[in-house]
Amino acid sequence: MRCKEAQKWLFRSVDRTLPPERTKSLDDHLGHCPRCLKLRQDYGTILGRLREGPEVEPLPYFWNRVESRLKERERAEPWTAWLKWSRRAIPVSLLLIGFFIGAIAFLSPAAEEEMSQPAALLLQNKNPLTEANALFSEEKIENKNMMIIFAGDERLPSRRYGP
Amino acid sequence: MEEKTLVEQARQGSHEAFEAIVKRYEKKVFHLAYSFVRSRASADDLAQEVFVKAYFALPKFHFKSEFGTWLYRIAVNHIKDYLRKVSRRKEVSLEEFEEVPFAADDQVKEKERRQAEEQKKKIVFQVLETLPPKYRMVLTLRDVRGYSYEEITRVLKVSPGTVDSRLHRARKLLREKMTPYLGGEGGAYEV
Repeated sequence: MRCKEAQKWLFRSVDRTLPPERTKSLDDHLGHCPRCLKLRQDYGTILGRLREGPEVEPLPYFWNRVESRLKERERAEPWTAWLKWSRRAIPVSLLLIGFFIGAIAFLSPAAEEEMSQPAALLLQNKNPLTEANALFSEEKIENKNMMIIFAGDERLPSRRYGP
Repeated sequence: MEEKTLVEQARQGSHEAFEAIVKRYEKKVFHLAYSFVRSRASADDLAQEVFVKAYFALPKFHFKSEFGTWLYRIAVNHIKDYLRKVSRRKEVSLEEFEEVPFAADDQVKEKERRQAEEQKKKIVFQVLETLPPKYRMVLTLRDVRGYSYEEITRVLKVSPGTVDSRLHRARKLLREKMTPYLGGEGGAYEV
C-alpha cells in the first residue's frame, strides 16, 4: 500500500469503520511508514479530545420556557392555532353542512306530481266531464255561449283593453 | 403513550402531548446544539427554538420518516442558520491558549494538567469552528456526537458517498489546521 492510499483509509481506521481486510494492509503500511503513523496518531488525539468529557446537562424547566414561547407565538399569530384546529374542523364542518342539506331536503314538502289524465281520473276521481255537465245541462243558448267563452279564458291572464 | 399518537395530538394543538415529545427529545436536541455552540445558554436557546419551529411545522409532518429524524433535521438546519449568522461576526483567537507553567506540588500539578487538557480541548473546538459549515456539520455529527453514517445520511438528506467524502475532507482539514497545536504529541487516543 502506498502513502496516498493509506491516508485515504487512515481516518476510517481511527473511526473503526474500516473493513478488516483493509485494516490488515493499512497496519502493514503503518508498520514501516512513520509519517502515516504520525498522521493517524494526530487524528487519534484530535478525535479523543472531540469525544471525551462529561455530557453537559440541559438547564432545568426546559419545557416551561418552550411553552411560554409557544404561547407567545400563538398570541402573535392566531391563524397558526386555527391551522392546527382546521385539520379537525374541516371534516366536522363538512359533516354538519351535509347533515343540514339532508335535513332541508327531507323536511321540505315534495312538489305535486303532475298526473296523466287517466291517472287523475282513477286516483283523484277528477272526471273532466263533471265540469262540462253544467254546460250541457244549460238550456239557454246565450248562457251556454257565455260559459264557453269564460271557460276558455279561465287559464289566461286577465287582459286589460286600453282605450 | 405511543409517539405517533402524541404527534397526532400535538398536531391538533395539544400542549400536553407536545410536552411529552419535548421531554423525550430535550436532551438529544440540547446536546446536539451544545456540540456546535459549546455554551450551555446558547444551546438551551437553540434547543427551545428548534422545538418551537417543530411545533408549528407539525402539520407538514406526514410520518414519511421517523419523527426523531425529522426533528433532528429541523435542529441541524436551525443550527446551520445560526452558525452562518454567528460566523460572520466571530473571529477566532487562539492567543489565550498558552502553555501552563510547570509546578512542583502534585495537587497543583494535577489541577494544572486538567486545565491544560481543557485548554487543548478548547483549541480543537475553536479550530473546528473555523471549518466550512458543511464539513463542520458532518464532523460534529460523526466525531463529536457519534451518529452512525446512516443517521447522518438521513438527517442531512445527502447520499452515503457524500457523507463519506465530506467526512474525509473535514478530518483532513481539521488535522492540517491542528498541526501547529499538536507539536510532538500524538497517540493519546487509543486506536
